[in-house]
Amino acid sequence: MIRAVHTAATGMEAMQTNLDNIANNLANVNTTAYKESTATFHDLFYQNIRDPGGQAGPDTVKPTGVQVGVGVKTASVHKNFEPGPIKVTGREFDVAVNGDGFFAVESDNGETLYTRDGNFQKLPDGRLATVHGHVLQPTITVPQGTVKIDIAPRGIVSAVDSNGKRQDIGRIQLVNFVNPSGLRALGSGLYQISDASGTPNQGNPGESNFGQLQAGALEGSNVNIVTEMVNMIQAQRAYEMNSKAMQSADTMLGTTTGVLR
Amino acid sequence: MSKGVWPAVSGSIAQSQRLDVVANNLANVNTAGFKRDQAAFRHLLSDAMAAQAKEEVPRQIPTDKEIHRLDGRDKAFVIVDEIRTDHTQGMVKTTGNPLDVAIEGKGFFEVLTPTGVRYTRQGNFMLNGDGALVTTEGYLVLSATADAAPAAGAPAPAPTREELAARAIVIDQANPSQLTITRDGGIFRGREQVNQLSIVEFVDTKLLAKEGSSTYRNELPANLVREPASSNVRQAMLETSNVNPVKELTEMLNATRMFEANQKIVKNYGDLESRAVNDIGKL
Repeated sequence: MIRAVHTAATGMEAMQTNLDNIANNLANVNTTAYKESTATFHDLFYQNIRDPGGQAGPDTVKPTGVQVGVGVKTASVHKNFEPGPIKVTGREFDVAVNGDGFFAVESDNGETLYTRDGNFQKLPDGRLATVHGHVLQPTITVPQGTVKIDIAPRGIVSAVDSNGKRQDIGRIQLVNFVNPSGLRALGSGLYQISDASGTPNQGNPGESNFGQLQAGALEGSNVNIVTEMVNMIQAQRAYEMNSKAMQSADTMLGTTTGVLR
Repeated sequence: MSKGVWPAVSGSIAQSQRLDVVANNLANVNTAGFKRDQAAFRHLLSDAMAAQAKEEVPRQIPTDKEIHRLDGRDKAFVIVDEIRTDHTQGMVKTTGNPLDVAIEGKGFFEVLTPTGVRYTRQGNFMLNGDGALVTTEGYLVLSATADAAPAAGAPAPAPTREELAARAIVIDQANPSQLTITRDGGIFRGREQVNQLSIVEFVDTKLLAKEGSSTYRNELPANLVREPASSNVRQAMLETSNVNPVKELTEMLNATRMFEANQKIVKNYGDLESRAVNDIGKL
């Protein structure tokens, strides 16, 4: 009975984590290039009161045992890198990756971080950077006097000056990982390498398994609202059911203590 | 205390153990691939039931035991004899994730845990940093293998950890969305087969012990069947928990009320004793 109380408590905690995760996904349903987080659960260990397969007699083996579980734990909350929908914005510095691959940007302390958010801006010195000021790597500098920028699907960035002359000013590179779900999410759409993600693999857009670039467009959030709503209903009802199990155990304990008056 | 109270106490303990099982089922109502447990009770008689003797006209003053024959029923107990895992197929939901797999049928995936080979139904796999297919706990998912032909009379030697780790499924080139997994567990990139998932079945699923983290341990090597007869692998889908909340809540209600009923018996015995001690001897 006391075991049931703790088991139900683990269930409620797990559903709370589940709901926190769902709420985060729903809050970011309109965030550019947001990747939804999935929570998965595992049952906790089992207490073997009697192992299966024990001897019942000289020739008979008991077919089952007595094992009581102690609840549930959150196994992982990881990001799901399915591509989101691509929304056309028409802005010349906006880029969306149509497929796999991250942009590499340099953070304030020189570390390389990765992002799918292609909403780039031009710094005063002409370099392309994110809205937080993280410079796109490899650096692409827009020369003074440029009238228009074109970003080709294969990454080549070209600038047209006031005379109509076009010159190539660089090529956007994409980075890929064996296990992108293993990247550490830092917020603001940025991801950091971890031991679980594998080493970064750089390449040109459109080649091997890198996606092509779509200029003048941004990748939307890949949160599926219907799925999140269904998950939310399940989480809420599971929470309620676990609270009922706890209430039952409490009633039983109350009955036991009520035996002695 | 009169001995009639002990069967009631055993009943209370059994019902509270039943509630523990129900609570675990409910806690895991959202765990993918979870199989619900069910407690089974067994009635024990600690004395063999006395044979029915012929009725005889009493020649001496009868004792209470002869008038009120219990035939061993006063020493009967109930215990939780086994906790059976119900391996009914859970509902399969679509997730869209190319590395999620669900099994329809009786099969299990083979995974390599730090303590040896275990089996699981939870198919939400991912790639680790080296490109190997792993579970969310990091256990390697093993590829299919043929059983070594047993030497005459002698059982096949157990595979070493290195041999098992060599059966890991490594996907080189990071792009899981290009992989397709066929119904028999074959892993294809385009038209080329890259590897084969190991799907195994068991002759008797009752011999599987749950080990937590959604894995099962097989007690008898002879229980394992390497050629699955009836299992289909579905990609981008996950099997959900087979816990039926309505059933569990009914069990819980039942357990609670039976517990209360047993406790009432205990209380009644207490009252009777109290009466015997306090009232009968009153002067």
